[in-house]
Amino acid sequence: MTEGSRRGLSLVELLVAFFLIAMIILPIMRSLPQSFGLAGRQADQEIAIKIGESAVNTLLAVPFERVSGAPGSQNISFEIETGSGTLPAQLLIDGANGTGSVRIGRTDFQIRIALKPEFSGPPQAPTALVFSFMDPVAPTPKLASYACPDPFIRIQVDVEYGQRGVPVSLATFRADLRQ
Amino acid sequence: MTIARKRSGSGFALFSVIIVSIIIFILAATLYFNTRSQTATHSRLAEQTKALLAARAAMQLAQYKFRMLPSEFYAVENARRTGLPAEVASFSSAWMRDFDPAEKTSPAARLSTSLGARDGGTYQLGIASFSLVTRFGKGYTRDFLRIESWGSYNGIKRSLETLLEVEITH
Repeated sequence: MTEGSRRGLSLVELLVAFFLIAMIILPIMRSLPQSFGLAGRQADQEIAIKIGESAVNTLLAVPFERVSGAPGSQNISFEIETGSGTLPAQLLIDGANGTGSVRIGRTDFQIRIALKPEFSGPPQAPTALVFSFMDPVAPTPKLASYACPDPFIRIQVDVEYGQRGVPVSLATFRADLRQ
Repeated sequence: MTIARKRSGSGFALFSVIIVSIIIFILAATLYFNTRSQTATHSRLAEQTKALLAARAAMQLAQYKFRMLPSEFYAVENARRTGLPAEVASFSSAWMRDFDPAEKTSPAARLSTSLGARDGGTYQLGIASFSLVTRFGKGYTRDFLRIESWGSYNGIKRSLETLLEVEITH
């Protein structure tokens, strides 16, 4: 084998090597930002869920008057547990609606709250919840029934974040358990 | 001799590139599948949170019913302490009917439907157990109730247990 033929072989080898690297690296270069973007959005979604859950738990714990949807505005403080510690936050409730915002890292989380007395009396109203108990062994079945005149408040908390993140939407009910 | 050495070295670059490419490919594939599995985990986290909040709604129902119909609850407890098994079952069933989402007009069913109406998912909520924990002798003015509620969202179920201190009203 001459020196010239050895050089040619090396060149082919390098070209094949470059081709292989291009075949492997280029698709990976394209998919890496997608993967990192997805991972970032997932982390934001997890934080959004925690913020929403903290807000709902706070609205379940404060005195009922504060979530009854009565006119007037008020501030409710709450805390969010994050990986780097506890972050204070505030909700501004105005009547049946509320808002809040939290910035964690580079992401802004917007909280929207809706408080709706979805179930309430009077007894014959279609929105009344009827609780009952029929004594199964009484000679004539004795029925105790209570149509709920008190409002069952639906607490709806939506947390939006980023431009491409799917908003988190959480809901529960709160009964009027005041004496 | 020199030529032979050079020949044995030929193919080294190609071999190295293939090895490095395989390593990069494995790392990228690991990252890709890891991200995909994380997506499923995060989706489950959202569903579990919704199920837990449904269980909280069920807990509110249970506490409200006890507040409105305490005598009926104690009738169930009396049957539990003194009655025959069949009697206990029928009393318990009568008390728990409101917490059964399968009963179409029960409060539990109505709350489940309401939660799912906006969300589009399938909610269910109910009470698994509702019992009196303490009531000893005379002079006690407070009881403890143990309530276990549950909620589910798109088939993912979460439970919640509460020990509730209540004033004896009769």
